[in-house]
Amino acid sequence: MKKLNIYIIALIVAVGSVSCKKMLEIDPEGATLEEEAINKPEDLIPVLNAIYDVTANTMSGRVQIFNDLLSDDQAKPPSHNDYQEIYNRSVLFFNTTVAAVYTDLYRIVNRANVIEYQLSRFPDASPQLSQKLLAESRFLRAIANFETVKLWAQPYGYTTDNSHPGIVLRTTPTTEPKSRASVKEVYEAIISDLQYAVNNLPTTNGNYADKQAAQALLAQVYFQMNRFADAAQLANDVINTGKYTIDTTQLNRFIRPDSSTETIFRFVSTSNVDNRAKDFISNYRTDNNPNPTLRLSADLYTTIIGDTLDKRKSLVRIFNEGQGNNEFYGSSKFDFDWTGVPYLHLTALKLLRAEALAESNQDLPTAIADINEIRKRAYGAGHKELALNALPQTIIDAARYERRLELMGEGNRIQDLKRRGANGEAITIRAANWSCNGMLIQFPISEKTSLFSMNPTGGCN
Amino acid sequence: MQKLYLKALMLLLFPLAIGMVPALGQTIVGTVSDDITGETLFGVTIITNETKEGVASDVDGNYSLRLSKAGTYTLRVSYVGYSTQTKTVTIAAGQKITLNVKMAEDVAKVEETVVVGYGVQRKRDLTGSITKLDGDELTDMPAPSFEAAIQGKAPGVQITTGSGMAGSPTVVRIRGLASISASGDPLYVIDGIPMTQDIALRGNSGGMNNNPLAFLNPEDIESIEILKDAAANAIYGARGANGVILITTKRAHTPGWKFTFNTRVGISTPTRKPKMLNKDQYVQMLQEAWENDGGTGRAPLTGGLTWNQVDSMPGTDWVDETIGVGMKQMYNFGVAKGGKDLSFLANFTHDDNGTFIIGNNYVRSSVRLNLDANLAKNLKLRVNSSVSRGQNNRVDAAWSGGLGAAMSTALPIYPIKNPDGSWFRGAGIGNNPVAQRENKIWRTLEKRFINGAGLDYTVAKGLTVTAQGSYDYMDLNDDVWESRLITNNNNAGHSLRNTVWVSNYNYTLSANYVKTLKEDHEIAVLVGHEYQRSYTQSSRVEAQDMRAPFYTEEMPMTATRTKNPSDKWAFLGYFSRANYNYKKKYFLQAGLRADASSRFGANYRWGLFPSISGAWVISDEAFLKHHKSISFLKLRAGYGRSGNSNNMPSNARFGLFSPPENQIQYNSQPTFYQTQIRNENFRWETSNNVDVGVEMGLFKDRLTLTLDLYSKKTNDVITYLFIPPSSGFTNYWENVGSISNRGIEFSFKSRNLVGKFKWTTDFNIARNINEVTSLGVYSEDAVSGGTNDTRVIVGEPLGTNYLVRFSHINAQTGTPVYIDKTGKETYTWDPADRVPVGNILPKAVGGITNNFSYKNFDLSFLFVFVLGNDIYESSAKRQNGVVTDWNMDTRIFDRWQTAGDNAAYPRLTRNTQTYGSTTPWINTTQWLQNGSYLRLRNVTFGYSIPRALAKRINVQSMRVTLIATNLFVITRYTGMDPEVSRDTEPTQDNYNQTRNLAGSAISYLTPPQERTFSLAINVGF
Repeated sequence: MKKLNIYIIALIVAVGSVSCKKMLEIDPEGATLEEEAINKPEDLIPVLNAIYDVTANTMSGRVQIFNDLLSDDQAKPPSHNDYQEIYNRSVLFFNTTVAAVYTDLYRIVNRANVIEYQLSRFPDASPQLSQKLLAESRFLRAIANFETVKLWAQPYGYTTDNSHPGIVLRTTPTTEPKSRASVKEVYEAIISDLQYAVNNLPTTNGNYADKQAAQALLAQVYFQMNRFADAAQLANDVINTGKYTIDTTQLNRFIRPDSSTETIFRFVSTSNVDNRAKDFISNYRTDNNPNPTLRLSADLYTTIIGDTLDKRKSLVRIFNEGQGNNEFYGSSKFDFDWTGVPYLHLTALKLLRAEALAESNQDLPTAIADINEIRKRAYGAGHKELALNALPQTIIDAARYERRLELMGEGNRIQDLKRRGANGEAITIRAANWSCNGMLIQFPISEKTSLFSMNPTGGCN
Repeated sequence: MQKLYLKALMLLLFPLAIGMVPALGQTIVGTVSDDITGETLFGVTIITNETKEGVASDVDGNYSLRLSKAGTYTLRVSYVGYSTQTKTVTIAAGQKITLNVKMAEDVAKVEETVVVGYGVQRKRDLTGSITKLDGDELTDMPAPSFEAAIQGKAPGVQITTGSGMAGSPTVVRIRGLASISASGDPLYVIDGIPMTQDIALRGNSGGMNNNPLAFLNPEDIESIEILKDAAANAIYGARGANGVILITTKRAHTPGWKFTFNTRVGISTPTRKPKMLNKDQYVQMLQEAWENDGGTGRAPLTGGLTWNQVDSMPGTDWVDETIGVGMKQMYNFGVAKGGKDLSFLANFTHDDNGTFIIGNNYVRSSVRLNLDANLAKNLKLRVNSSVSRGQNNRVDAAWSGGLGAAMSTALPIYPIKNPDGSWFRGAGIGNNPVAQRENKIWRTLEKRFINGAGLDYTVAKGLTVTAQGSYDYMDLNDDVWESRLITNNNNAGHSLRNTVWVSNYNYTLSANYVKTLKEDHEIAVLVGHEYQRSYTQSSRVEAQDMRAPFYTEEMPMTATRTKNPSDKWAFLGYFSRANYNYKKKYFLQAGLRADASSRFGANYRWGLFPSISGAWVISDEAFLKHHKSISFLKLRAGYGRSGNSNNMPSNARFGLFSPPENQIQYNSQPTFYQTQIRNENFRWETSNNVDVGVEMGLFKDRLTLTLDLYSKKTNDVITYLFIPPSSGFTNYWENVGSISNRGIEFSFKSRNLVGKFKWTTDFNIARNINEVTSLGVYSEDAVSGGTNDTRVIVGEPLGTNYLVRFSHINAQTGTPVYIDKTGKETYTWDPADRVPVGNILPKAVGGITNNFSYKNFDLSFLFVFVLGNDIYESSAKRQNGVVTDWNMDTRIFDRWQTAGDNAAYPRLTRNTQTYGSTTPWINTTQWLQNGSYLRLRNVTFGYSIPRALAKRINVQSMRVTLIATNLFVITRYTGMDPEVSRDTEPTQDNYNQTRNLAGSAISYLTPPQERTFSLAINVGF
């Protein structure tokens, strides 16, 4: 009897003390455990590629369209409630199109942070690989933060110390709610990321970001901050490499960004099922669609066709001509089945440099040459070319005029206007002040926490 | 026919019986009767303490107990509802002694025992709040599933029967609700195993969730105990906080053979039919909307019909085409044998539960075998074994079609068939519910096996060691076949099978020590260990060109199979409980459980759940002992911490990356990315409970009262949040937020009349106040209750309606007037004007039962009530809002037509802008209504045949009962049925959330409840 008792007690003790860990460690199916996901630094290369993937999906027209809908380049979309809200400058926090783009922009940030975090687990990783991973992911993170702050916050210079609310800055892959950093902090973070990229990216990198891409983007960032001398300097650095030349025959860089001599950095499409310009095409395309979602404003259309010599009129199209309210204007810049997206290119950089040089009143001959190079292509030789002694303001006006037309559909116009407004010009956009509340896109409702203040609404109409 | 079965069975069991006839020897004979009425008692157990030899009294109250040896015996005479007596008898060899026993009714229920977690306690000794219901309280009415029969009978337990659809789940809430995204349901434990109870195994296909409890045969249930406070449920640790429902199945109790046969046949009709517009009314409304909008001529039609066709056809009453009379029949045969060393009970049941929805029934067939054996003097074996087969013959309902379509998009202008005899499909086959039903075969078949075995080993006096293992296996096959008319494919049809297998086992090892010290001190100590593991697999198979579902036509080789990732989880726990009492007057109980789960993050692997409680039987004190009116008075108080982790996701704690087979590429190179951020803090939700209770008996317990006050503060609530997308993710599981539930429960049982004409009244009422006290930093839109705009907002009850306020209809223009956030009237509907409104949870719930009996007749009424809650009639916004492709109901007659009209509904329009909105179906308080009701839930009228007659027809007892359920309801609610719980939609794949946040307060084309009329016959022999 006693023996049996002992057996039973022994059994209880034995069963009770079986390694609890084994009894409770149950791994999920259908996914990869984080612990097993990254076993060596090389495993992060596909993660880096996934950042390019999501960045390409965001810059496939989605971000650019939001910008243009706010500007004076667009007519009110006849359908698409979410786009109409943006055009009306009264974005509701339930706007699902906005939420999707916003989320994707932060997926870029998150994936870059994942790389940083995971890389820290491998102190012995080769410096070369570490630099590549960090520099490219920071370049992409800078794109995300730059595009986000431009759409969701008042521009740099809106307050003198730039203490006005910017966006959420994240440098670690966590889910904790955060408050908005100031615009100053956001720009500092972008610049810091891009400077690292400039210093660590190779001068050639296949289809991925290289040093010039980082420099060209940083030039844009400085330009957006009205730091013209810095912007001009970086533009010079890129242009002076001599790697890029203006394609004197091709007005549309979307035709073949892979082989264009102007492309500094692009998002790569490999086939019609891997179309990284799909949102440009699906919203704008006019050659096979009498009813495009997005239409150009009469202002932009008449500006282009106002100059009979302007060859860029081949990039616009009129519908229902003469039919009163039914007449509208479309863009034929995106009339493709599929194509890549030239995100950074020489035309933009030259016009940026021209304006920046003129604004900082230095090296005006280069500025004038830049303008004339673009104008020669747009109108043919001799037309509208600037005189060699053109005044800075003339150069600036010319640069702005050409930027609007050359970069049509690329989301540039509204940011030029806001930047100028922040620089002290009296800017009115579709009868509203450049800094009215609704000129900012509203954050998705789920960003709202007690730490986070949404954008104020209204005030533009 | 039934008699034939009976004879066959007797014959079968006869050889067994022969073996049990004992040799002649010593005999004690006698009659057992009621000490007051003198009526003889049938079924009284007389058993010796020494040898465990026993017998039960026969129909005439006579017994004859043969004893194998001469000697002195202590006889234990016991009978349900009577005080147990012990008699000492000395019997010589070959002697025959006569011992008549008079039994006294146990009004104080001193002896009544209650199943508690991992044990049994005397009801009188309880220090926690536990409600016990006997099995016969669950079978006194035809309920689709046992839990529906609890309604109105347990204070503080709110039961909302799913709907009239067969196999739809009931919402059970014990003392309010404290869960957001984990399950708010109680933990169901059947014979020691926490059972598989996920309502989302089949999603909400067809407009219904699957009830995982429907397999259980109510006829199998001996009792259910509801553990309400932490003193009672903290022993279930991380899973007890929503209350625990312990289900104990029947076992053989009385010595000897016992046969029972129960049958019930009945019909099912709806409590209310939707009052949809007929063809002419619909046409009138459509035309009016058209003309209001400035249209000229006749309004455009839908469904490809011309006005000529519509004018020439009679139209269809789709409600009549989808609602009929359901037939119900139940047969149960039970056999039990109590013996010295071996007892068993077998129960066979076939229950065909047809509903008023044409084509819909639930057929459950089940077999149970419970067995007890004394393997040795100190070693007992217990076996529970049940097999059941639940076949749910499904039709679409609610949003999915059928009756739901009849209430919405199946317009009365549509015919069933075209003039050429073919089905009318002009508006899609879904809008011809008859064609849809006839071209679709849908069957959900659940096979469920729950088997368990336990050993009780008495190591020494007072020390028992128990080992138990149980296995709960579910095989759920959902088969759908659709003809080519539905699939629109150029072949015979399409078959689809979704299968879910859930394999769930647990084992428990425990030791129980009981000791009495110096008469006055009793201690009991329990320590134990439990492990449970569950494994859910699911797959999908489909094939084209099928003439029948897979269960009749063989699966072809071309069928495509998809296997879904499985779900696995485990719980590991250690528990202990110590009880002490002094003179059975002062009781103290302390408990502690430690629980770990595979679902908990590494930082919170183990949770500790302590509890302490005490009770004081004041009526045993000298100063009250002989009080004239107070016969019993007990005060109890308890504190405890319990947790909830039911249905929390198994994998939310992990950091995850995309699967290796991820196909996404960029630049023709592979990608790899994080899909989920780890949460090593993910854990149970913690409830701190305080309960104070008084139990009182007055006038010799003619009136017994129970009053409980409780407070339950829940922290770390498991929440599936819409997190800031700046994290790179949209959703995240996190323990965030706090919820408070405070309440009062009161019940009484009154024996108003005793004697020949008996009348008893049972009454209970409970009030629960629920408030969200924190949601961390998150906003009111961080947790969604689905499409019905219910939210989690601090300071409001959980799941509060969050709606734009509707004010009135402008009498001049006929357009709706809303109230904006600042309180100003506006004609524009803007979601920014949403405010928390309404009463999502009732102010009080309860029930009142009156039982009358006279001679062999008895009559019982059960009323249930729910007070002070609102119902959001979500489908009414489409039925009586902007005129679209939905039919309207007759409430639309009260609409604005000309200037000056004071109407309930605005001018008819087909243009959403008329109502100030850009979308047609907007949530406003216009569709929020008072949902209070008083319902006559159940009436039974029974007749038990006199013993003499019973004897003549060779049965021990026989009873005939007429039962009517849901005869009427008193309510101001103008929708269908105020007892409503719509099918639970997935919010980001989470079903718990909509069940919790919209549980019993949202209606969306939800079918009404059933009204049933049944005849039941119960025979014992």
